Amino acid sequence: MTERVQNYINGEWVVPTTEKYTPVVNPASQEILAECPDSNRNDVDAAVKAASDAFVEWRRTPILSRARYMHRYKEACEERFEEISSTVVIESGKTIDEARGEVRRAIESIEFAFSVPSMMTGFKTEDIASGIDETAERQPIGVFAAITPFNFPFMVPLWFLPTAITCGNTYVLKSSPQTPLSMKIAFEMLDDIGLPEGVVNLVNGGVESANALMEHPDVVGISFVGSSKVGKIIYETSARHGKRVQVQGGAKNYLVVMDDCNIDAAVLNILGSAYGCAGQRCLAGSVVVIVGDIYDQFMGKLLEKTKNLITGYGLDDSTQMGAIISSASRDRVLGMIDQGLSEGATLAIDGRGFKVEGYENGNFIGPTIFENVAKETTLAKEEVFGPVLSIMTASSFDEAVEMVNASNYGNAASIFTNNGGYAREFKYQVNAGNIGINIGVAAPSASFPFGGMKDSFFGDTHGQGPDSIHFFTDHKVVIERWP
Amino acid sequence: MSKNIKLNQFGSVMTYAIKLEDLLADYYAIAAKNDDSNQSEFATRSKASLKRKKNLERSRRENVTEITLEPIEGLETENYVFETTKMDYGTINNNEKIIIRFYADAGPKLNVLESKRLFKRYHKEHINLNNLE
Repeated sequence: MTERVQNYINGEWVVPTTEKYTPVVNPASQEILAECPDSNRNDVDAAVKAASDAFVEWRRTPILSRARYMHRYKEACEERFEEISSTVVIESGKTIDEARGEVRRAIESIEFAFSVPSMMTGFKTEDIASGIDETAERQPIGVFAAITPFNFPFMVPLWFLPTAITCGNTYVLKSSPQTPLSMKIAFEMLDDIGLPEGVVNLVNGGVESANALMEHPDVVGISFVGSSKVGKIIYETSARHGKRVQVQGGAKNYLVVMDDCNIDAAVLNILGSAYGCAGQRCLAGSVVVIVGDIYDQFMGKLLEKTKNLITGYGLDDSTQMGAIISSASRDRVLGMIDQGLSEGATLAIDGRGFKVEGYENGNFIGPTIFENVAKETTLAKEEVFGPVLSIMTASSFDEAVEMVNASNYGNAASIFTNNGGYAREFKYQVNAGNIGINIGVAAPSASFPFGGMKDSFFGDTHGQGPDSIHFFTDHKVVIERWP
Repeated sequence: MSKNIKLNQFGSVMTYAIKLEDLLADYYAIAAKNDDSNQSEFATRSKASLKRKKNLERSRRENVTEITLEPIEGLETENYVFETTKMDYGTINNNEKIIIRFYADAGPKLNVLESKRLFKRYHKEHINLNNLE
């Protein structure tokens, strides 16, 4: 019988009250791995109540003790590292190397939470007025929640949860119903390390549970990662209900290749950027803008290396690009390829109709490259979220920067150059939150905020780094005078 | 030993190194049981391979991030396949030559400093083993 995923509420695995379930499908094999509940408002209410009740005692738990739970959590993740990585592959379709990278990044976020005792300190000024001292203390706020996507099912929830609870808050997580299995392991480990009941809670579900979290009066803040379209709804709804919100949305990331760059290194880097996670990540390079007279040289190498990439099942160590999350997503990407052709772009490499031996029903699209992509077309403007790279040209650095900044998105942008002047101007002028210089995937480490501008981010403080301490705490100012 | 794995990215190269050391650990453990004159030497080699295997697993676990995921070219598994059915000294020495060549060829292709350092060290450790005569 297919396993039915349960919720984790108040320190126990519980069967949700909902009767609605959706299948969790291995994107490569189409095997049904489990069934995920579509938890309802009653389930969310129970989780929030548990978190709310736990907050009173948890915030009084000494901060060093709270941090020590995270030390134990990191050790648990190290011990189950390969199991978690394999689970990420099975439910999301990515490669085992990508999954290991994801789990490592998640552990780095846990390690960042070790620093909360020193990062959460306040500040004080004596004699701000005669005989009066003023202090700003940082305090946890209450119950936070996250609504997280399928593409990094283990990492993204752990961008938030470790720091939030080490700051003294309690937590409710709603992960993607397409990929609930790695979070099941994450919560098994949270249970194993002996956190007090109710400090962390997991609600599996879709739209109803997300709405219930955003509208719940006892939830003080929401973190979201997903598409810009949904993100905007999350931002507006959560803000309307008085919550602090951080929304990391979609992207259209441009990679500018200058004629002075190291072409071999740039090509390898761009391959990883465009086809890592089969293009299903908000930092994926989507458009290459070639500047100067290197078009033929660059394209020759890019096409050769792209054709050599091995697409297949993620658990095969040799696979360099995995599957698309669902058949619906695959069809959407294929539709965008058709749209690109109808708008005049030409295919240099066509990934349509790609089959993997032994996984003929898998959601695969081969690496795809478009040339002759015009500025106003869908391929130049809209997020594809698949293994599709568009090639454009610019006559100068300034034109390339204009093309990057014309995008409605501002998640990431990269330049490949050996010219420090270009590099400096690029990072100065480009309106994107994460800038790569000779780096195709400008992924901030856990101790830095994950940037994002324009339609790629809604909110004030970003996820990760010092911003996350600000998000998960509030300043209380104490002004005192003693006679 | 699987020849199917392609040494085309960080994880697969690390996995292959782990497999080679694991294979050597078993190989030398059997040799230690079968050869009284070199029992201690083979037991030591088996233990050292196991230690290397664990460190390689740790390095694979700790050093892969999406920043470092770039294709690797120019390594073919068929150049690094042990003969494990024979245990004469000539075969043993030849297996050592294979793993020395593997670390020498693969190390410079890794773009992760810590793993590269590990390969360099293990290359040296295998070179330092005495040729059996």
